[in-house]
Amino acid sequence: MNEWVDIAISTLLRVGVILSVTVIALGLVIAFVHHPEYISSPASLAELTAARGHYPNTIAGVVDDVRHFRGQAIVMAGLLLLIATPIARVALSIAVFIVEHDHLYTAITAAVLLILLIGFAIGLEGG
Amino acid sequence: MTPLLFVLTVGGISLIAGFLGSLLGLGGGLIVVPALTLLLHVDIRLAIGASIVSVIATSSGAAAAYVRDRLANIRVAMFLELGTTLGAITGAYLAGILHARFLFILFGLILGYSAIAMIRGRKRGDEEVVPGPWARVLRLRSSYFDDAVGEEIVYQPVRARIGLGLMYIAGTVSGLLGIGSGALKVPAMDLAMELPIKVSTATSNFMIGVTAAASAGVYFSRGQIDPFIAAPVAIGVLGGAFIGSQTLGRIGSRSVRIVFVVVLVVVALQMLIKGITA
Repeated sequence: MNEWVDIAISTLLRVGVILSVTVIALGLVIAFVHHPEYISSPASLAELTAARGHYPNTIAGVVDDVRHFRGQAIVMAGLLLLIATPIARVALSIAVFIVEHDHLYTAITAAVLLILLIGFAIGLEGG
Repeated sequence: MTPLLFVLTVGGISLIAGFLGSLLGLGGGLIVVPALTLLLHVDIRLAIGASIVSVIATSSGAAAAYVRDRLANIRVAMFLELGTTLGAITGAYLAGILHARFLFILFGLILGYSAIAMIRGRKRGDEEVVPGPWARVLRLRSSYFDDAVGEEIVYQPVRARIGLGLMYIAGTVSGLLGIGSGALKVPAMDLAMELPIKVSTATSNFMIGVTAAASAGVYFSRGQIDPFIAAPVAIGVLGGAFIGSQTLGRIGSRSVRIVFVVVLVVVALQMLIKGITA
């Protein structure tokens, strides 16, 4: 396999990771700045690690809260970027194999992406 | 405990989880879930959500280096992902039909057996295994530079079909039990396909992110990914995985194998205990 294939995939992963960790860290800092009591008061921890309530669980909700500059929503946006990174890796691999005229691996990787998306759809339905 | 101290503690634990996970091709849920639930009394549902984030962070964090250093075999990974992703869907369907208790015991036993087989090692030199038509058509042969011994290691994966079948089972298990299947992927690549141990853990590491990302959507929409818990997990794990990915090339294959087997025994015992006490 040509070296540029490795470099392309490796670079995508690196960019995805650096981008998401930056956004996550930024969101965390903002959460602490907005809520100085998080640094000193043990009482707020129970609320933050409770199973329901204080954070969005839809993409629209995340976008909405990021607009209001809410730290936890910015963290969530970073987490979503992190989750998207491996899926983007599979998609990029297809493009790379097409450019390489590697029909066998184009087909294999496209099948993987298809199965992933079907799984995602089933999961959302079941969840 | 203040939220600040909580974040720092979780970050520190996750650093270790990311380091070990990236070396061994596991997601780190093995460390993150018990630490969060037993030590920090976090709800198990949120701990599982955090462990999914941990798997993805370990995978992407270390794979950038593993792909560049050619420790991860991309062709092997892409081909085997056919099995893991199909298996994950099967697992999602079978969940609820099969008793988790029975499965925990069954897979505890399989992992225990894998641990014994891996420590005994492959019988080398008895007979050279000739790659079948699949391994040849798929062009799985590759090489990597092993820093520990200072030479280029050329290897020829064999039994591609058996590997694919085992990955299907590994994917089904992770779909059913919600565990990262690195513990099954590495023995399958090591024992059946005869990949070098470092290539097995690095390739497993490369693959686990995709499987986890597929199910992460569900956990997100169910509200199981709590940003306050997942943020320090993601940051800590990424840091640990980065350090681990710089380390794997330099440590001896034998050490990797021994540490992996020890962890495998721990996971096998965890699963057996879960199966018996559940």
